[in-house]
Amino acid sequence: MADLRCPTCGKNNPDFLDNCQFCQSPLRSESTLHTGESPVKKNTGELEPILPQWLKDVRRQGRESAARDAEEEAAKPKVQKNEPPDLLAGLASQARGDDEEVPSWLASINPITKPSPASSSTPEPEPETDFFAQFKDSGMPSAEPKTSEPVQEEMPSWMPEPTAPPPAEEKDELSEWFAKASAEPSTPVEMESELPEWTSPTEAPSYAFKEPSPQPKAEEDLSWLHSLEDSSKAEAQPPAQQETSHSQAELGWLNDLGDATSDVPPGRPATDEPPSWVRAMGGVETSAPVPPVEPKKESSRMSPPVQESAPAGEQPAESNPVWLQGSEGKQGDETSSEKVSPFTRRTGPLRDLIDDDFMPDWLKTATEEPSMPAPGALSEWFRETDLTPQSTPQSDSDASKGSAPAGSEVDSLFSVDVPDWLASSESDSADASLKPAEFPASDSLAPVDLPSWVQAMRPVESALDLPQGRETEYTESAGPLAGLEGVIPVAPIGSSRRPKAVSLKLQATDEQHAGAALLEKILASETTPRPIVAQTNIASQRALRWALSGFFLIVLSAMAYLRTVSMPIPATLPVEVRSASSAIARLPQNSTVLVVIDYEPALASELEVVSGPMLDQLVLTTRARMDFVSTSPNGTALVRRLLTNTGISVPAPNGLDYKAGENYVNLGYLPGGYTGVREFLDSPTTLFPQAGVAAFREYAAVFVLTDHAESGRVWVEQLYARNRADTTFFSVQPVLFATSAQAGPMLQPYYSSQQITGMVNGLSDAARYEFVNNSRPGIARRYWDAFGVGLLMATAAIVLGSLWSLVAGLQARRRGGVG
Amino acid sequence: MLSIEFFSALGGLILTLMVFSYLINDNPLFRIAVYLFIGVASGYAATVVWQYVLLPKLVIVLQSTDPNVWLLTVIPLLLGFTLLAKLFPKLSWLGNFAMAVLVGVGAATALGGAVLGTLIPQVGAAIDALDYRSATEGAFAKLIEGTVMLVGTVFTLGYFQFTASRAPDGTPKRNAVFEGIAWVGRLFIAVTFGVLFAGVYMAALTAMIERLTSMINFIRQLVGF
Amino acid sequence: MRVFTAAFAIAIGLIILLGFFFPIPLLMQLRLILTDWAVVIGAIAILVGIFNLVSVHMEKIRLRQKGSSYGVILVLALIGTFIFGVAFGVESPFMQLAVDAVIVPVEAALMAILAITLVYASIRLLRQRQDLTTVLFLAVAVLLLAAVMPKPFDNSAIDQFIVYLTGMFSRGGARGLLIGIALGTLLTGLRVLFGVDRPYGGN
Repeated sequence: MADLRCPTCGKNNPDFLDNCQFCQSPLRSESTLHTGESPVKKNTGELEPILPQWLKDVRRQGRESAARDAEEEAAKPKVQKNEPPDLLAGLASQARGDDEEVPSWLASINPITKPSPASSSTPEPEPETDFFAQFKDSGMPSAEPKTSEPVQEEMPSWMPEPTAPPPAEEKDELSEWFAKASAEPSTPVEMESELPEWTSPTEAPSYAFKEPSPQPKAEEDLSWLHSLEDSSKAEAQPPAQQETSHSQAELGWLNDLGDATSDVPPGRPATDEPPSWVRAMGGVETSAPVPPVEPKKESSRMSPPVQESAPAGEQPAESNPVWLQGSEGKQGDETSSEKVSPFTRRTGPLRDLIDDDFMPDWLKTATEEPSMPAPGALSEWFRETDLTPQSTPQSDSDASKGSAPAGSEVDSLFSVDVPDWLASSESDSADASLKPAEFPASDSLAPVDLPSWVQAMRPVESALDLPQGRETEYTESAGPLAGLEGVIPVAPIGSSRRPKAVSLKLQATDEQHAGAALLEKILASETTPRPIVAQTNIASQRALRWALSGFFLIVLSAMAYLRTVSMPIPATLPVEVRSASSAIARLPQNSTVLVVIDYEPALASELEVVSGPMLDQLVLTTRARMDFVSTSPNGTALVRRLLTNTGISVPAPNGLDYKAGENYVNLGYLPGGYTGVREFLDSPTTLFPQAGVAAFREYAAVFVLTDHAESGRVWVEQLYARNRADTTFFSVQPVLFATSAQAGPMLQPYYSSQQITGMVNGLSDAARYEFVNNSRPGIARRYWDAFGVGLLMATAAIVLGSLWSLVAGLQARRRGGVG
Repeated sequence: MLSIEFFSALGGLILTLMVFSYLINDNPLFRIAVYLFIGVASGYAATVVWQYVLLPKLVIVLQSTDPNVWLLTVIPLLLGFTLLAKLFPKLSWLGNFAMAVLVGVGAATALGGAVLGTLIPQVGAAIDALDYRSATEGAFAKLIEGTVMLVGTVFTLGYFQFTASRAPDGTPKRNAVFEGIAWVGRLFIAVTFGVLFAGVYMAALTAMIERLTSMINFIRQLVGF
Repeated sequence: MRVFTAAFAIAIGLIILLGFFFPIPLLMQLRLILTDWAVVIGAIAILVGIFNLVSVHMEKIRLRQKGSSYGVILVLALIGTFIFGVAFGVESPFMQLAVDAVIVPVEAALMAILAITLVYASIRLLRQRQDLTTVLFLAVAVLLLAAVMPKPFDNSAIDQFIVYLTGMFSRGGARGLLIGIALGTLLTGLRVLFGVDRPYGGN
């Protein structure tokens, strides 16, 4: 029975225990690391639903807080004299404010406190040298194992996190936030005068973790570390009986990843931009090419490097990051973590997590969400996501020792079900590493409370990104890295991990742009001030109106007063008037006709003039009985007026002596518009029992006196629709219209389509009709001269006025053009 | 002398002058005339509705012994008076059924009339206008007239066709053919509106002549010459 | 309730519409009953509208809002006319006086003002818009007025040709407008019958 060492307290426990019998920490890592598995192209967004609720909540709250922080960031004045560069801004708060909050596991994995993998001494107060020494080592492509400490190779629990990357939308959201934050000017913090170049504030815009007031958030920012701690604890003690084949398989993907650095798998969407911290991993793989081996799982890229994999238990200490080594032996030393300086405590997983252009959403949210599940729950979740670890730390170490150069251990840490975005990151990082970034002259950084673990992040990754030939080219002469050689590469660290520029420009389609442009145009037209009409212009308009009014009233009054009848009336009848006259002439004697009063009192005079000759001919020739029905409430009062003015109801000998109830009946008001007309056509007696007919077809003719095309159209339509049901309707029942001049043009097509038998339109037709009808009743004749003068005045006024307006308008336009 | 016709003519003269005063400017006399007209016209309309519609129905309700007739008369009256609930927001839902009857019957009637009374016959007439063989005389003129009317009809309808595709710059742009059709249709519409404008003016001119003639005739009677 | 109202309106509309195309006696009888209901309801709707008019102006008078004195004239005229009309009938002399002295003169005078307004507007039209359609619009109006205008000389041939020409073009445009209106009516009616539009408050 093998013992399991508790990753928390460091004490041995029986292997059948899941939790430490001393500190109750999980002993077994149920993590999901699958070293040796190559990335599988898949939609990582599918993993979103399987996230535990607490993590979803964390992410959600993180997004909200990120947006809130961004707003606060924008709202606050940018006075940050003492803050580090942007790339560290978000972490500086932790460095300052979480001295008491740093969990013990973080302190324990501090490589400074554990400069040697085998040692478990308390942390040393010389973090820089020891710490950065690891990068020197890690940067060296050495296969020499230092110590084989299984725990050293243990993947921290936070490492599987990349297997469940944030969805693309979240990444975009974060990128936007970064871009927004990077847009703000950052004030470089004075650090030590000769800090490495990567700490130059020139990178600040790319690492816009700046938080204006980070202090209050320090505690909750580090809360996620607790969970990471637990996870790392859980994974620090892998099952001893892990199969070696797994370890071989774990590293197989390294080979593929190495290939992938220069060979992006085809078909991968170019826009599938991973977080830069993932790209940083890819950088590691760049420097750790592994020959391809037989595929183990899904593709050849996942095959483990069997020949070069080191036996389990061996640990390539050189390639192992010191902080990992430190995490091996001192994870349980919580008290020591409280004693170390800030530089010595902040290392470990945070390096890869935070030292990145893109803080993944899940981490970002975690830093802001203090509530985390119990370690056991986290492990449970990892188990549920089918990401059960298939490798032991020993296998990792074997692989890295055998074949992988420095940094391959780091790769092995990520050797899980690497999603497609992770795979794509490799090429990105590789490309980025090949292109030297253009670093502008940067200001020296002043020494501040720069956490060592934060500093540690970049050198390691930088070293991993760095081409091997350049690793030892530089020896740091000042700053925390003084005396170290090659720990800070000249490779464009920042640029290699610079996030893809996410434009703040709204991503909208052309159609959306067009719609927006149209809306802007409309709004602009609405808001464009219009020149106020000059007072003189108003005065001139008023004078024109008064002149026109006076001229028309005086002239027409004079014509009415003079009662002239000098103007000749054309004797030729329009064809529609001729048709109406012919239809009336064909009506049987003493027949009953329907007369529809469909006009308002405003045009009563015109309709009386227009319908006068028609009705006069009707009465004279047929002595027809007339049923009047009105579709206007006021129309009922117009019947009497019509019959009086046309002389029909005027007693003989001056009139035709029609009597109400005997020769004509005013049926009354027909309400309902369309509906009323339809009902009256269907059953006249239902509405008007006093109607002279039992059915509508008994009317010999229908006379519609209308002043409006719309109401006239209703009668035409309903009459014609009824005709379809009663085919004999129109053959014996002519429909005659007397229309106002304003309604006639719109009703003309109905005459053309023979839906109207005949039509008299306006005073002009009425005068002709009256002239043909022996000048009866003579109303049109009385109006005719004044009508002619009125038309003449109107024609002259319109022609002259239009010419004047045209010239004035052209002049105004010319002036406007000149102006 | 002091007959109802006299007062009618006198009232007409005064009110006409009050309305004509608007040609000078908006003034209280004009407003008094208009408000008085609205009040009288509304009162007259209410009286007409009462006398020609409601009163006969109420008589039927009160005198009818046939329950079917009684029921068929009461239901619309009740529904109609539920429209009063529309004046009160909390009870306005009560009037929805009456409105439903109005809208349902009105929409169906208008629809049927539009299809059977305008759409089918007018489309047929537009086509038949090209049938010059039916013309007894002036076949060529009828052909020309039919062609012009058909073109006018189609192009006018085309003017109201606003479907457009988007240009590369995103702006909506109609097809070039439709653009041309719409342009010609707009000319036809301009001609139609010109004719309508002339008709409206002639109708208004007739009303003015009638008003002036009535006033002068009344003054003639007053003066005695 | 809303669904029931919509179903009620749709059912009524379908019955009416089917009656247009299928002259089945039962359908015709149903259609007649429903149409009669609509006519009665429409008539009552006029009364409701008038009642609302009175209440609005009464409220203005009560609050002594600006112009409420005109509202007094309106309300008094309305109530007085209605009382006299109900008491003595529509054909009574008072109602004749109301029509001949008030309704017809005021409406006709308003129409007469329109004549001058139209001339004034047409004069200023080219100052506002100077394009082909505007020029064509005014040209047709002037030509038609000139053709219709009584003349002391015989110019009937030219006048008839102008009237014929303008009538030919205008009938084409008018027919297009009528068909367009019919299509719009068809579409609106179908939307109501399908329940898409519910102007009766069912939406």
